[in-house]
Amino acid sequence: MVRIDEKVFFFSGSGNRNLFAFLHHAESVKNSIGVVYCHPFAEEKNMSHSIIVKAARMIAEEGFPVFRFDLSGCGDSEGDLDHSTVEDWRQDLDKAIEIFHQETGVSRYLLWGLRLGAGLALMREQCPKDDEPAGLILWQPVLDFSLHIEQFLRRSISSQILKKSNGLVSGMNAETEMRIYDTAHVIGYPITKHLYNSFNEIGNQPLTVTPSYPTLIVSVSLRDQPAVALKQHADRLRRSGTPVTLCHVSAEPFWDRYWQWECKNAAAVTLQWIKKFC
Amino acid sequence: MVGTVMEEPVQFICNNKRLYGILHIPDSVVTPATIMIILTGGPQVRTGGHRLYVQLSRFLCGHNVSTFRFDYEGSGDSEGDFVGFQHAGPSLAAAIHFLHNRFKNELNVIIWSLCDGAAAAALYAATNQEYIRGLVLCNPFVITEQGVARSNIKHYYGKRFFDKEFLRNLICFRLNFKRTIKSLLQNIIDAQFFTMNKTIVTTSNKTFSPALVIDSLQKLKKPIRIILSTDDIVAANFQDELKKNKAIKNDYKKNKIINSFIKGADHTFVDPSAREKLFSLTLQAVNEIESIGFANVS
Repeated sequence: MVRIDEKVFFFSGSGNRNLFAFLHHAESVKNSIGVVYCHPFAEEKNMSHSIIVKAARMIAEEGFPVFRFDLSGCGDSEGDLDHSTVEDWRQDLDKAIEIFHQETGVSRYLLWGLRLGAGLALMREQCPKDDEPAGLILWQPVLDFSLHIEQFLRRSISSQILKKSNGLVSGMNAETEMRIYDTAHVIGYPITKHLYNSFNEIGNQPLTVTPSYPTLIVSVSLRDQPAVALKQHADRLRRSGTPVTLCHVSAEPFWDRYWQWECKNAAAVTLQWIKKFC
Repeated sequence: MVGTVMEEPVQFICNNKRLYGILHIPDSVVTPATIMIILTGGPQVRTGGHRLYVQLSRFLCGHNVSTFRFDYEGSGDSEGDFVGFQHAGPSLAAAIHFLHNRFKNELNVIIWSLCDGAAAAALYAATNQEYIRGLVLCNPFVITEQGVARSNIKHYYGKRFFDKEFLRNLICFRLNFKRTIKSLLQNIIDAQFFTMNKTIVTTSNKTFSPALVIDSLQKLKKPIRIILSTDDIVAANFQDELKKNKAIKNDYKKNKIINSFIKGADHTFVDPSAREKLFSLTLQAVNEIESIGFANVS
């Protein structure tokens, strides 16, 4: 097995915030292409962390450098969620790609995202031609940011139900809390109007993006086939001329539950697909 | 990087595996004499659920307290397969060794932890007291099936059957009467029939006794501050386990161990006001522990 070098550091992201970076880089085996990973939103990031780290190490051991980083106000990065917007994260992703090139000397890259991170990767379709990714790896992508933030806000109701345990929730819901106080606290995360609006500004734009470069969609669920929405999305991309591959992995939706440590099949299909770029 | 705080990502080695953490050192501190180590609990990474550990570290740093939060073996960014809290000791030892190399050998540590990390901290500190200055433990995890059943009856049903709203809903059939009674009966059965079961089945299917954690608190000759949420079955269960150990009462009398409570807080302090209270109680605990000095307290 190749011993990969690993480097942790901060770099300057949007608004000059210091963003945490983790570079997996196999110096001894070099491929001409690497991977930049973009994480999901809020607790989904924590729940999926170990699986992503294991997948990143597996990819790096095959000679593909992998660059992971934390968006503004997330993980180890500077700032708080109540001072961040989706626009900041898009800028963070641009900076991260720049740093990936600087640190590895590798010019071609694949953009890999899970859930919201996959949505952000899709939104980078509008970047300058000379800095386009060679391909996209979308793990269970979020294609509608408005729906995603709505569903997240609804978690405050679920947590109140759990707390009260009698099924009758008397507290105000997160949307009302946000309207009155400007910020709603949902399972410990502060969601400001500003952040909420920035999700809505993106809305379902990722659904309409049709990349010209190869795209891998990995669907993960306990079912034996991909969700209808992902199948339809893949069909739509195919009709628009995107070279798309849809893979389904039957596994726990690991971004939505704790105590998940590995999703070997998702990592394996991804690595197999990446190897086509050599 | 944040205000008057320097944050630095670091790598260190444990059992030939690379572990990762973040050092938070206030700008005003050149060489810290004491560092508070945050040991992760449950399946969490070093940032904590809803970034609790990041915010706690930044708060403490703003009050001139240096902290170090890291992923133990197999969790977060650190290498290896997840080992579980019973086996976090070697990672903790490696973290302390790293801090000694980095700063100076006389450096002491306070260990702060939540849930099963608190159990891991107690187990480690009791047998490795040399550099430990004290512990700050939040909602320590000492769960047994029997304990959970008993705590449910006492702390949940005990309160619920005196709650007007609950009774009104039950009488008006707005709650599933059959399911409620069935659940209560199941808890009573569990509490009665698991009386011989003194072990915890943990996530890694290893077993150990909750009494070990309580005994460890007793063995440790350093100040211990315990912060408990009032809306948390883990905290309630911990208090029930404490009551079983008569000898530990002396430690409370001598103020070696002091409990503080956060009213209305849940297990991970999700509510912003509970979190603020947690931060200020932690700061108070750290200051108390530092003021006691390094001498043994019992």
